[in-house]
Amino acid sequence: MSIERSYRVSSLLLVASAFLGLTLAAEIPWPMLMLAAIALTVTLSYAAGWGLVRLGARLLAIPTEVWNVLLVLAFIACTADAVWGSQDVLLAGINFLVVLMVNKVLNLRERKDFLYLYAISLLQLLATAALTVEPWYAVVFVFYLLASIWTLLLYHLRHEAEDAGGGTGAGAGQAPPAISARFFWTTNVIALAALVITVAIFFITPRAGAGFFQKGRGQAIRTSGFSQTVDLGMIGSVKLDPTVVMRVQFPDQAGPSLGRVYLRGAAYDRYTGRTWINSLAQRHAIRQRRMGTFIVSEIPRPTLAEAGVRQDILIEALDAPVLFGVPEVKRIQGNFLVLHQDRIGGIHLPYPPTRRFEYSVLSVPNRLEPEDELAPSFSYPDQIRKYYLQLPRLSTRIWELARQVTRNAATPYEQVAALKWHLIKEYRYSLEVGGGVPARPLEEFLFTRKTGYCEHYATAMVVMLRSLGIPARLATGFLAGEWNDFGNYYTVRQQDAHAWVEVYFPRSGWIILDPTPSLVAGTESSPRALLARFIDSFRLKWTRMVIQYSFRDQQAVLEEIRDRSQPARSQASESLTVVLTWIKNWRAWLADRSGAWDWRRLFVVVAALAVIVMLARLWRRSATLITRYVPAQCTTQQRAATRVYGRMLHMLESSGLPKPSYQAPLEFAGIVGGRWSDTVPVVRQLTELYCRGRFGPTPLTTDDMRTADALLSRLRATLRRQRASRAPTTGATRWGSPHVGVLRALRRWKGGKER
Amino acid sequence: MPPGRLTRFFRWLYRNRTISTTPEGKRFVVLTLAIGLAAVNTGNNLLYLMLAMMLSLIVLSGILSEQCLKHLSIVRRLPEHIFAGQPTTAHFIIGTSRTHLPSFSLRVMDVMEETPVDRGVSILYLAPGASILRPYPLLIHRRGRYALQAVKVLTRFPFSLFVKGLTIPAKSETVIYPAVSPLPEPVQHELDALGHDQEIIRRGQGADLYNLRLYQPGDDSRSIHWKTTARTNTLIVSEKQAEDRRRATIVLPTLTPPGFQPADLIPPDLEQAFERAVELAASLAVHFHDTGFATGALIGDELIPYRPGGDQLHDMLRTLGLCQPRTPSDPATTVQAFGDRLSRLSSDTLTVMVLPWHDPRLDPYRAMTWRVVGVPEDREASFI
Repeated sequence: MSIERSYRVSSLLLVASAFLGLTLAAEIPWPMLMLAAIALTVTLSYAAGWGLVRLGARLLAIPTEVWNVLLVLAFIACTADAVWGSQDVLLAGINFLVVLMVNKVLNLRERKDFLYLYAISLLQLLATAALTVEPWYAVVFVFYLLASIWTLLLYHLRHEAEDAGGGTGAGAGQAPPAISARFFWTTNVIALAALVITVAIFFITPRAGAGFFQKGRGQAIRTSGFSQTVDLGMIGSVKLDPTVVMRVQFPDQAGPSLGRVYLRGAAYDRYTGRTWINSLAQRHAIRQRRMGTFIVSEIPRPTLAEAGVRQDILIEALDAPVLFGVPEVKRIQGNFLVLHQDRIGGIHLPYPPTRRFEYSVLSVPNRLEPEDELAPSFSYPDQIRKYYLQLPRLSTRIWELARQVTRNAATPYEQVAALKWHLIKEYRYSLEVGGGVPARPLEEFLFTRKTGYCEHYATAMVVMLRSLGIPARLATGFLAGEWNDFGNYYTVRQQDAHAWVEVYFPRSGWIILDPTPSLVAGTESSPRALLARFIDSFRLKWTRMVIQYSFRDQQAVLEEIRDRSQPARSQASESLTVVLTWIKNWRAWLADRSGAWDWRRLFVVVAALAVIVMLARLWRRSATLITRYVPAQCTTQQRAATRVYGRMLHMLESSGLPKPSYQAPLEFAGIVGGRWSDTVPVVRQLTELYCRGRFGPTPLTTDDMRTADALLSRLRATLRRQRASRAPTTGATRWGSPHVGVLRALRRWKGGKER
Repeated sequence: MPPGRLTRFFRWLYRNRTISTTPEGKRFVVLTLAIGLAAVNTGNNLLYLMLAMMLSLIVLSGILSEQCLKHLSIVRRLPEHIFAGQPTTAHFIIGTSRTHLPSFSLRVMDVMEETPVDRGVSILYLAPGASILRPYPLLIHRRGRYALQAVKVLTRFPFSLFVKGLTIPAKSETVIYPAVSPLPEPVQHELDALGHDQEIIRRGQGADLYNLRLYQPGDDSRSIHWKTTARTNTLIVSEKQAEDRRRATIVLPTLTPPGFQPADLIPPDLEQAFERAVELAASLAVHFHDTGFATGALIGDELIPYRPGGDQLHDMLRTLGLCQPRTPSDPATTVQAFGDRLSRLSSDTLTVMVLPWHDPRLDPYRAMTWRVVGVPEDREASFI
C-alpha cells in the first residue's frame, strides 16, 4: 500500500476508534450516529481503494458553502439543546463534535483538514474518558494509540516528501519506503513501545488531583433494605436482580475457605409488626487517624494481627449511602472526607455516591466465648435490654411456639440454637410469598404459609428470641457466595441481599446467626459463566489498577519496593564492608612485607598485565575493523567474501590508506593502485572476488577462497616490503590523516593518468 | 546523583544537539498541558492515561530522533576553485554506519560562524549502511577566505512535533577568488594583438614543426617522422618549435590613498573601488591565461613569478582573493620597495598596472608599465 493511501486510512481509523469510544460512552441520537457511521464507512472504504464506494463518496461530496451553513445550524441546535433541551452541556458538545467530525471526514483535502480531524478525535477520546469507567475503554485506547502512531508517522513522511519538493531537485532524497513488511512491523513495535512508556508514565505520574468523588454521570443502582426503616418483605424485591453491586477481595486469606461471608450494611432494633426501624440512627463522625483512615473502634494490635479480616471492597454506586463490611468493623480506609456511624453499628457516607469507588475494611468478627455457650442465664446491661428486647403486640401463638421449640434447652445458647434449627428444618425458603404485604406477615409466615425468605426467617427468630428474653436484632447486608477464581474475589450481586440475626451475648458481644436455609447457589462452571467471571475479573483489575489508582497506591508501591529492597541493600552494605576490610588487611600485609618485597617482580607483573591489556585491545580493534564490513543480512557465503575483503581493507588501513565509506570497491581499488602500483593486481583480484562473492549470483568456491587467502598473503608481504622501504623517510611520508592520504593518493593517481 | 553531576550528565547527553518545536508540536504541547490540567483538576485516571499517552509520544519523539541522528557521518566537498558571484556546486556525502535501522527526514546544513546556513539539502530516507551524495548549489558573493566549521543535521522524525539538530564538526576552508567578468571587446582585441613581438622561434616542446633531421641514438622514438622516413628510407626525426609564450604582468598596488593612517578604516566607496580593481586584475589574469600568456603578478608586496599553466593562474587568483588595501606605517619606504620590485620585472613583458584609485606616489612607475588601468566609478575598465 502506498504512503498516501495508508496515511488516509490510518487517519480515518484514528477518528473511527475515537468515535467508537464516544458511541459506547454517550447516548448519541441515532440519526447522527447513523450519519457519522455512514460517512466514516464510505470514506474509509474509498481511502482503502474499494472502487464500489466511489459513487457513494461522490454523493457525499457537499459544497463548502453548504457545509458552512450546516455547521452554523448544528451549532445553534446544540446550543439550544444545552440551554433548553437536555440542559447537558457535555452531551450537546459531543453532538456538535460528531457533526464537526462528519464535516472533516468528508472534506479531507489539505494538511490542516487532517490536523483538525486529529484534534477532533482527541476531543472525542477526552469526552469518552470523562463519561465512562468501563474496561472497554482500554481496548479503544490501545487501538487509538496504535492508530495515532501510524497516523503521525505517515503524516510526517508524507509531508516531508511534500516539503522536499516531490522527489526532485537538491532536496530530494531517496523516496521514503512504501508500506513494506519491515515498515509495518517497525511501526507496530514503535506503537508497542509507546504503549509501554504510556503505562510507565501513567503509574509514575504523581496523583496530585483532588478527585474526591468526581461527578458521575451514570445512575445509581436502586437497592432496598438499608434505609432507616424497612418493611418486611422489601428485600424480596431485589432477590431476583443479578446486577453486580460489589466485589470483595480478602487479601490475607484464601477467599472460598472463609465460607459464608456476611457483609453488614444496616441493623434494626425496633419492630412494629410490619416494619423494622432503626431507632438508634443518631450518627456521629468517625475519628480519622490520618487522611483516609477511619478508626471505628480501638482494638489491641495483637488481636488485629490474630483475628483481623481485611477486605478490599469495590462497590458500585448504590442509592443508599451505606458502607458494607464483615462485622465487627474496626477500621476503614478509603478516599473519603468524612464517615459517620450510627449507634447500632451502621457506617454511612454523608451522601450517596455517584460513581464506583473502593475502600478497605479491617474487621474482627466476634466469636462465641465458651462461658457464654455454657452459662445457664445472663444478666444484660440496661441499654441492651432497653433497645433489643422490644416487641410489638403479637399473637400469643408466637410466644407459645418459642417456648415449645426451646422447652428442652437448658441455656440461652441452646435456646438460640434450637430456634435456629427449628426455622431451618420446618420452613421452606421461597421468594414466592404472594402479592402484597399481609396485615400480620410474621404470623402468616410462621403458622399459615410456612414459606418465606431471609427477612421472614430473621424476623421470626429475632421476635421469638426477644419473647424468650434474649436480646437480638435484625441485620441487613449481603451474603457473598459467588467466588471468582480468576481474580480471587467474591462477586456480590443484588440477589445476594440478605437479612440475618445478631444475638447479644454478654462476653462475646453480637454474634451472627442465620436461620435461613443455605441458599448460596455456588459457582457455575459452564463456559459462559467462566467467560463472564473472566470478564468480571478484568473489570475489577481495570478498576483497581486504572480507575481507582491513587496517590495512596503509589505510596504503597514505594513502600513495597523499599521493604523488598531492604535485604538487598543490607547484603550490598555487608559485601562492601567485607571488601573494604580485605583491602585494608592487604595493605597492612603489604606494609609489613615492604622490606622483603621484590619491586622488580611487581614491575614485571604490572608490565605483563599492561601488555595483555594492550594486546587484547589491539585484537579487539582488529576484530572490529574486519567484522564492521560484514552486513547483517548476508548469506554465509556472502559473509565469507565480505570477510576476505574486510581483511584486505584492514591491511590497507593499517598501512595508511583507509577506505572512505562513499567510495565504491572498484573505485577504491583504482586509488590503491594509484598509490602503490605493485599492489594493483592483488587488490584488483581481491576486489573482483569480493564483488563476485558478495553481489554475484554464484558464491565463491573453495578454490576461490584459497586464491583469496594466497592473495591476502601476497598483499601483506608487499605492504610489509613497502613499509620497510619507506622506513628511512617515515616521518616525512607518513600520512597526516586518512583524508589527506586519500587526497594525495587521488592526486598521484590523477597525475599518473595525465602523464 | 547530585544536581551538579546530573546537570553535567545532561549537558554531555545533549552535546552538540538542539531541540525546537514545530507549529504542530506547539499545539501538541498545549493540548498535553490542557489534558494534564484537566487530569489534575478532576483526578480522573482516564485523563491521566491520556496525558501519559501524549507524554509517551513526546518521549518517543526524543528517542527516535536521537536514533535517527546517531551514527551519521557527513563529509562536505567544496569545489577546488570558487569565484565570487559565480554559482558552483558543492557536495555532502551522507552515510550511516547503522546496520539495521534507517534514518529518515534529514535536513543537512552548513554551519558558518556558528550560524546554520540552509542549503536545501534533505534526505527522506537513508537505508541502513548506505551512503549517498547530495549536491547543492553554492553562491558566494565576496572574495576572501571562506570557512565552514561544521555541518548541522536536523530531523523532524518521527512525528513532526520537534526538530532535533545535531552539529557534526566538519571544517572546510577555501579561498574565494574575485569575481571574473569578460573584458570589453576592444580591450580584448588590443590585448590579443599585443605580445607577439616577444615570440622567439627556437627548438622546444611545442606543437609546430621546427626542423627535420637525421635520427641519432638517444632520440625519442616517438619523434620519428614516419612519412619522411618512408620517403627517404632513412630514420628522420622531427623537432618541434618551442612554445615561448608571450608574457604579461599584472600589477595591483594595495596602498591606500595618501593621507591614510594605519588605524584608519577604509571608507566604503574606496573599498568598492578596491574590489573593482581586484576583480579587474582577476579578469585580466584569466584573459591572459586563456590567450596563452605566461603571466606573473605583483600584488601588493607579493611577487608571483612567470609560469604557464593553470596552477599559476590559481595562485594569482588566490592571492587576489586574499589581498586587502593596507596603510603602511612608512609609506615612502613601501612605495620605494614596490618600485624596486616593479623594476625587477622583465622588461620584455606586457605589464598592466591596475590602480584602484589615483595615487601620485606611484606616478614615477607608470613609465615602467605598458598600460595603467584605472577603475572609474562606472565600473568600466578604461585604458589610460
